[in-house]
Amino acid sequence: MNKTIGHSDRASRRRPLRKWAAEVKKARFIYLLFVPTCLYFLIFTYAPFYGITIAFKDYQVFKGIFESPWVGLEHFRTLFSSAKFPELLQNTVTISLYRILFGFPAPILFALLLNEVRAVWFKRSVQTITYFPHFLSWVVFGGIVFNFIGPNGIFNTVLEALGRDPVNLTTSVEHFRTLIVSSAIMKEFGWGAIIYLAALSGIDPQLYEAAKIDGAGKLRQIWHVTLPGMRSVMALLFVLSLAGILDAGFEQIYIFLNPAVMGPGDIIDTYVYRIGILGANYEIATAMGLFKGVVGMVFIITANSLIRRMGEKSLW
Amino acid sequence: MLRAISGKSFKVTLLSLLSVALIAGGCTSGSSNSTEPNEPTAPSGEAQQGEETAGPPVAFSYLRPVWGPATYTKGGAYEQELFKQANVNIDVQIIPVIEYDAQVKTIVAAGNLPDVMWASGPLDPFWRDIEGQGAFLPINDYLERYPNVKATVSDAVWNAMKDEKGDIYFFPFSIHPIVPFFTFYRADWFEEAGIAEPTTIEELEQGLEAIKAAKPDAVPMTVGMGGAEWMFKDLGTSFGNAAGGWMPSPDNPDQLVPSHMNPANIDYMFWLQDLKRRGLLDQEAGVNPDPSFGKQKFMTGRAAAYPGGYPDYLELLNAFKQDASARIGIMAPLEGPGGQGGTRTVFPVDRGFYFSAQASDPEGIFRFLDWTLTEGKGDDFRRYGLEGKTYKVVDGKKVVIPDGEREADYVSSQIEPLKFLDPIDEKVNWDDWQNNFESQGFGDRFEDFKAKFEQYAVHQYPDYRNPTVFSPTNAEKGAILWEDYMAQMYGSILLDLNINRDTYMKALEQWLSNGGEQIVKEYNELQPDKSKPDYGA
Amino acid sequence: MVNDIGQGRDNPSSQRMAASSGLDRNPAWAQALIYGVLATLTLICLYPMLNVLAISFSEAQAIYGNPMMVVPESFTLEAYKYIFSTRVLLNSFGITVFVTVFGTLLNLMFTITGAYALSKTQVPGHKLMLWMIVIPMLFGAGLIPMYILLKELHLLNTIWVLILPKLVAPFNMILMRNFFWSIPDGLEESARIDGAGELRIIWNVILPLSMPVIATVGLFYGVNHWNDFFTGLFFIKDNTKWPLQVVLRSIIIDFNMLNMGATTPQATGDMSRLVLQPENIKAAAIIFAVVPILCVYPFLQKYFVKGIMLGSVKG
Repeated sequence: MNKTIGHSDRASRRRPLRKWAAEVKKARFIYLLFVPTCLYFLIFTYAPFYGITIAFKDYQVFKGIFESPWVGLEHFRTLFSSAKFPELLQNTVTISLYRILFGFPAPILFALLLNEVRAVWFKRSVQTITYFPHFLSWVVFGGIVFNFIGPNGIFNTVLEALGRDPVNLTTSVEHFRTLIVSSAIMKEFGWGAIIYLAALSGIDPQLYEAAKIDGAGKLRQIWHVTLPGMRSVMALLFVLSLAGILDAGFEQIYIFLNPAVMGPGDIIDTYVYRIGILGANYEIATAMGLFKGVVGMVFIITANSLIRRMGEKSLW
Repeated sequence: MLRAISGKSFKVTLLSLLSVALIAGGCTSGSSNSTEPNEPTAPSGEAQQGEETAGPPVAFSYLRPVWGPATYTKGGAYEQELFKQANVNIDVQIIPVIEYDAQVKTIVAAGNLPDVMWASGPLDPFWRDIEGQGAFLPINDYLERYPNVKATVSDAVWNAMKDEKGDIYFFPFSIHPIVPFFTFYRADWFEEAGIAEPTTIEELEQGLEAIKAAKPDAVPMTVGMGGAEWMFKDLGTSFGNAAGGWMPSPDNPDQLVPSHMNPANIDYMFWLQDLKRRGLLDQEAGVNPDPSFGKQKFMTGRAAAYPGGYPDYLELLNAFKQDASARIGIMAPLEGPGGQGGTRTVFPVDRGFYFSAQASDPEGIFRFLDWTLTEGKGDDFRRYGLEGKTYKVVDGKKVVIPDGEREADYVSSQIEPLKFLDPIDEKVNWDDWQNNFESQGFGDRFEDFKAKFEQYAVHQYPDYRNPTVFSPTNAEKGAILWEDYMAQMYGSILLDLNINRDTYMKALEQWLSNGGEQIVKEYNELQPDKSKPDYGA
Repeated sequence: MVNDIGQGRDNPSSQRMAASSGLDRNPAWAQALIYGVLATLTLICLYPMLNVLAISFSEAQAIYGNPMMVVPESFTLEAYKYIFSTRVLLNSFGITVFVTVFGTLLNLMFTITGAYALSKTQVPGHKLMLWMIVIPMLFGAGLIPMYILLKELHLLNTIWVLILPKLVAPFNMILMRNFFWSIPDGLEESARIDGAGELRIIWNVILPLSMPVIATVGLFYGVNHWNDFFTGLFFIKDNTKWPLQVVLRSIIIDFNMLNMGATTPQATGDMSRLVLQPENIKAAAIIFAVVPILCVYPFLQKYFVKGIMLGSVKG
């Protein structure tokens, strides 16, 4: 009697374990396929992670990272208690949100428009030309923008021709964020559409047939066939762009920033860059990187759950 | 069942891609082989004129920034000649100057020090801290034994290089402390408008107003690279101000105050703001991200005046060569609210180098440096190079051949990486300048050029602060303090015409009460000698 | 017919199928509007291209007078001649081509295998595998530990440092994984029933259907390699091993970054020695750096036609 009970207890404990082991064995080839990727990340990403401890240390170059003394959260405190920090945080998040709000749909709309084009030569030329600005650095592109909106730029020339007063858009506090977001969209919409065009080409044409048979007009076809076909890509890109919410675009903002527009424009990264010039570069920069990563992770998890609830799979 | 779709074409594409890659890779290693010539041959035993002898070549590694294009390749003809004559073998590595500081700190952090390594030196607290920690070699002894080498730096500066124990680790690269920023102007336009060359600040303002009326399409005064505050530094001396530097406070001459606290500097900055308000200063000043916009404006005849480094004069003359009526004038230092203007001088050091504590033959390196500075030995080679390749003899004088006319092996980007030290008296060499002027056809302008330089040099306005002295509070939170309370205010004076003295002083109060006062106090305590620095120029 | 379509080329029959089985034709006014909007956007993006191109063929003095030109003034080839006269340039071009082609191939190999593995969500531990690649997307350790690591691995100053540290971009892998999710299980099942192993499934089933995403991800990796200047600059000291972007950048002294420090007296020494390259050389360098990669995209377009094959298979 006892023997039987004991035996079935152990068996019942063993059964899920055995099942699990069987599944692992079945999937062994999948693991094998993952090994190269795994090795890569272990060596090049996880191994150097000890460097993140710089954020909690007084990094003394000669002692090395391991031997440098701990200072706890001091670097975080230094930055967070700065009188400017609330403003920096607000600017960073606001600009990021504007970018997502306006910058996210732009390549999608462009891809949809381009999808309507029959003539292959036109389609290809438009694509090639519109993704050219992506390759220019902000140093160059910013210079071009400045030629348009600067005190002697075309914009002002036109204004004066219309009898209005010239406006200096580069030092204008009210226009700064608009300027940033719109020039960024101009630069990136062509490149950003590539993913969506790839997704569009993956939509089964027979779905359109089916919709047409059901009597759907053009707009309904787009709503019921095209957009759902791009939905998973859109969801994924949306979640990933939220991960970078504390990156408001350092290179661009650095080029456009001047003391007059610090109010709306100074972001965490440009501030850290400037104070880093006078020492304490590594520690504070690492601390900020860590902070951004944590916030990004929170956003990713939240966004992903929301999207799951809407029935779409993005990250998991 | 699905056939291997596009399998064949896929494989073909893959194969062709791989072959392209391999060919490209092969070409690369092939060509890099061909650009690598043979190792320099061992020097022969016989000494030739100027050559160093005896023993195997001194071999050391050398890391330095380059200001020109970073296209240097090893083993070139110039380098081989240098190695042969000096009996050295230098392994040179270059980094473009813009990235240099960040990279060299990384190299130190990783423990990869070359034998001789350029750095900013103890002017940067990072290096000051490291000096005593054993990475670098103290050089006091070598300096004593090689006076030629020591003499490339003034004694005042050597003193500043010593740490608390009196050890010197850093070998500064000297620059001439006098770097006038001339106020260039269109003398022909001024003459047309009936204005004499201004001699006071007031006359300058009047002159600019007259130009504004006479030439509505041009900008009266524009500004070049580096930002208005620094570019107008010599004009600012007319306010008694050393732009960006610490000076004795007018209330208390025994206390040094930073420029943003100095009434003379504040006056100067608001004067610039006023110029802008009156339309006399380019509206793009402080706004246009292109650093050379001002110079371009002046060179294309769209501005009447422009402050530029004195070497710009030749460039401007060349730009206006075709225009017979144009005349470029140089304003003499003006008299202003602070007295007679002159030039704001600079600390006569621009980077320098350290010797690694692990260097195997520092004695040999110093011997080499000495060789480059000794007449009859390497001095001539260092200055002029090789006849027919880097210089030619014209009328018995040695004239430098411009880069565009040199062979590939001898262009300046092949030579700059092999530069070390120059004697102080070569920093501003009037003979060379005169040759330059004459060879470009502007010989008649040289006298005025030199005279103006000397005029600017009469009244010198230095930064009183010793740049190797550091305040602990500043190191800890100086940058943040500045960013939080002063940066925007100070930087916007020229951009936001609504800023006035009241708003400015309020911001200054904030800076002071949050730690600025402590910083000023500490600097004053740590630098007991507050006399006017004399760099002997 | 099935084989023709299967080739995936833009042959007439597949085009006709696309035309007839795609979206409805638009009314004329709508089509005109669409073309109009696209043309406008294209012109806006065309301007910087023409501007930079024109500047690269103009003389420096002429540029100061008219920086917004779209046609060259005082036509000259000086700028290009200067760039080509640099010894290291052609060498660096070869290096960049090698790194881009070979590096992208390696990237794709790693990414495809990893993405496929990740797409199997029934596998135990798949969430761990996912987090393993998401974490590096959010956190990085910084320059100094990376430098030390590369030094330990003896990768410094070699061409491999341009390829190995960037083998996998998590973003690209996730993108590909999601695409693999959209491939119907039925196809895999039938291949398995036919006795195919995992590798054959990938090669014969997954890959052909994934051309759009592979082309896209390949483009991303390729462009990333082509444009990368930071890696070469920081980790390679020997300028004969520099890739194209680093050489070009070293020819154009980019004064904007230096400007930060130029307001200090310290930098005055720098400024009087700085050799600012004229605008046309900068422009020529940009053209030289960008044009080759611009020409790649049209060749990839043929891979963006998966839908047709899928349709044909079902039929």
